[in-house]
Amino acid sequence: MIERTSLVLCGYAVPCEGVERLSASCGHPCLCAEKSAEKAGDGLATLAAAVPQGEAAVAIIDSVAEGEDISRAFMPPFSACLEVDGALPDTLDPEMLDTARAGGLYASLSTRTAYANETARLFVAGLSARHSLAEEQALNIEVALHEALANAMIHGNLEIPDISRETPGDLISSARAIDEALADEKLGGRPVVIAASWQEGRLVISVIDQGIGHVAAANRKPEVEGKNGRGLWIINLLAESVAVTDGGRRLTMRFGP
Amino acid sequence: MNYDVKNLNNQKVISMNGRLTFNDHEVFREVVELIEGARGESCVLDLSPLEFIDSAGLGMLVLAGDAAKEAGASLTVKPGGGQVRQMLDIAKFDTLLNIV
Repeated sequence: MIERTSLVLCGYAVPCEGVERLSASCGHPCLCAEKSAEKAGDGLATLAAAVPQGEAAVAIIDSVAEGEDISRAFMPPFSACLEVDGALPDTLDPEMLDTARAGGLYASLSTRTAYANETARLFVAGLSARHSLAEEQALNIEVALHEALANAMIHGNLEIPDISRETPGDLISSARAIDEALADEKLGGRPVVIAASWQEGRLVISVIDQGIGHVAAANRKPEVEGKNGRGLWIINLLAESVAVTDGGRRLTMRFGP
Repeated sequence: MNYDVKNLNNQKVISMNGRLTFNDHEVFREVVELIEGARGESCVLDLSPLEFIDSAGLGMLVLAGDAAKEAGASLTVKPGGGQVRQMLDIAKFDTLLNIV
């Protein structure tokens, strides 16, 4: 695996002085672009073209990013995507820097953005662009990642312990509970992180939330007639191994070659 | 997920397309209402145009089966292929729903 020492920070539609300050503090060069009036995704494509050949880049995007922007931010040369809401952070997550330098893919999106987009599908497309994945394998990874994200967003960041589907009326109350939590400034704004890297020929993906933590039994077989509780079990079937750590806030899946 | 409804040979055929996920609780309530309205009739849930289903979508299908039973409607599920078929197999829904 190529170890890159340098990363280019690419700020798109975020305050340029914040990107420059971050660049100075972490020692990585930066590029900036205003929100483009062209179609979504084009602004990041322009920045991508300015990244020197062979270098990896971090896409720093605004919270009003559209699906096309996110899709583009998951594609090379971008190895990391950081969504910020207004102010930029003073430092970058060491896991982001390590993942991006090692040729992996990292994303930190607000729960609101991750929920509104087909994040698992876009992320796996980004993985496929840097490491060829068989169609069936890519689909299994997408399903497992989708389930892990659903748990991290709904039960983790949005702090909704259970989604009931026992009666038709529950469908509406569950939808309302999710919508209300997404609209909540604190809960909906919490980041959900996906960090993927290849380790000893295996793809390792962690999904990290900032909720209050929840630990469920990964190997509990759900009832056939059950209306919930299948997510973790499906992940367990599709991944080679699954580990839940940090009080339930980090789920790590390992996929065979 | 989007759906459309047709009446074919005295059967109510509900076709779902797109992705049936945790994001679709509200729209699936409409599908359940259609099944509830098929009292004593026969109803087909056509999943063949559906591209993707997750664990939440599987839970919704169980609820659809319950709604049909309660309404005295016969519910048949056309599973399609690919990921949707794989998920129905994983969930062993052939023992729970009338899959053809």
